[in-house]
Amino acid sequence: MKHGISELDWNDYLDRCAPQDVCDRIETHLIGCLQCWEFYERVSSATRDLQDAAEEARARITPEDRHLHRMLSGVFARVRAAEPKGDLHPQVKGRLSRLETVLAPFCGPQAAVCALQAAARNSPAASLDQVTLDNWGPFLERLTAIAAAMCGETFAGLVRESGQY
Amino acid sequence: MKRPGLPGNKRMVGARITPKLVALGLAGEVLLLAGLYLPSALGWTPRFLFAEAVVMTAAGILAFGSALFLSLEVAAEYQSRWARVAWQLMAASAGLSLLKRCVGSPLFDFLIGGYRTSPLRGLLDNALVVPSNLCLLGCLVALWWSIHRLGLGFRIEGRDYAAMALVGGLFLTLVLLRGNLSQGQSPFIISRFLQPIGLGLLAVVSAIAVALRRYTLRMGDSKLATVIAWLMVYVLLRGALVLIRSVLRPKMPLVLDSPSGLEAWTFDLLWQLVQWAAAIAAACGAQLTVSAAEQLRKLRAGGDVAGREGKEATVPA
Repeated sequence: MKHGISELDWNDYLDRCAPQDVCDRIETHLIGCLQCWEFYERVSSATRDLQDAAEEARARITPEDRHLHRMLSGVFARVRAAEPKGDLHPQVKGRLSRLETVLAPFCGPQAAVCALQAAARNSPAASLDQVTLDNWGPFLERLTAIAAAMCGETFAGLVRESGQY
Repeated sequence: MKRPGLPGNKRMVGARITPKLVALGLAGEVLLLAGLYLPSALGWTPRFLFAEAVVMTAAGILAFGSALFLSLEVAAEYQSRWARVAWQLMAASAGLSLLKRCVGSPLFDFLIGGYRTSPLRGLLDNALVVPSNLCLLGCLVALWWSIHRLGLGFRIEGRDYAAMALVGGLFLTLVLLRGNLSQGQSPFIISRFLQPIGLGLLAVVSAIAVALRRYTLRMGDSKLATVIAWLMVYVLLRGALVLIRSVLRPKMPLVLDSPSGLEAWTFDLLWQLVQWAAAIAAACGAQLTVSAAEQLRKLRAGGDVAGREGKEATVPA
């Protein structure tokens, strides 16, 4: 505390949020104290400069919608990556396992896994870990299309119906 | 929701002409030809050339005919454009090969003297070989693209490109070092051009077949891998036979089909394998649908039983 004015009082006064009695006390003191006046001038000028710079920076770096979308996508991707793996719904796990069993004899175990991953990648699930009962429909449609291109429509029907039970 | 119907097994050619049946056809032909040839080779009987010609012609028509119908049936099974085009082109190639087998039949030797080595036969042969190889090339490219575009992560690696270059180089060496081909002096000028074009296409087709090997390796022991593997056998066997005969008998005229002399009996027999390989590839392709239909039928039967049991369980006693 200097000249009876605490640091907290100075902060509040400079931020224009001090109570009226504190403001009156400081202003009465400033009229007669050159040292405190110079301090006030210096600090208030610096505070004003900082506020102006902050305004300018805020105006300059306001993200456009597409930037915002990209940044949010990155954030969500990191959030997803941070989530623990292997927490698939048991029903989804069972269905995926059944589909792999159906696919493997026709196109091989490795291609079966690749087909499941490709179907998930090109569906709203985005990855096999993210396949849920909610996004199962689009995932299964995509997998059916892959199966149809590899082994024909009858096989695609088998995949579709195997994935529905 | 109404479930789509299953292809009726009885109506499908693929349900009747199985790979096992085609293999039996191949074995039957080999046994028949061996039975006809070996007694004469041992000096017990005269050569039954007419009977051999009948067997080879009939087997060729049967094998390529089966490949044609089965490929059309497989093509009809695909709604995906590239896979459908691949099998339609395979059917076209088999159809053209069937025609070639007919016009190149050794039976004509009994009607027209020296027909088998005549320029007319060379012209007819090459006029059919070029579009047939072109269709086969289109078939393999469409098949490769239909799988590649699915984004399964299958890639043709550096060593595959090296193998392709090796196969292409072998054919190029063959054409450059041998000088005149069998049709090089043909009175039909078009025949002189068609033969190297046919061989060039065979080189490209063989090179692509080598690259498709990578896909079969990735697919492991599976039905689709078997189909691609038999297509590879069909393509590579033709290329290998042309190359081997060229190396073993450099003085012999280079044609895509060897004359039926005594010395060339083995090659004749190996050429018979080629046509059956096409039929087996198409039969394996048709089996994809037959097996899928069978499994789907079982699944539906199981689902219906489960559904009925579920309903019965909910009915109050």
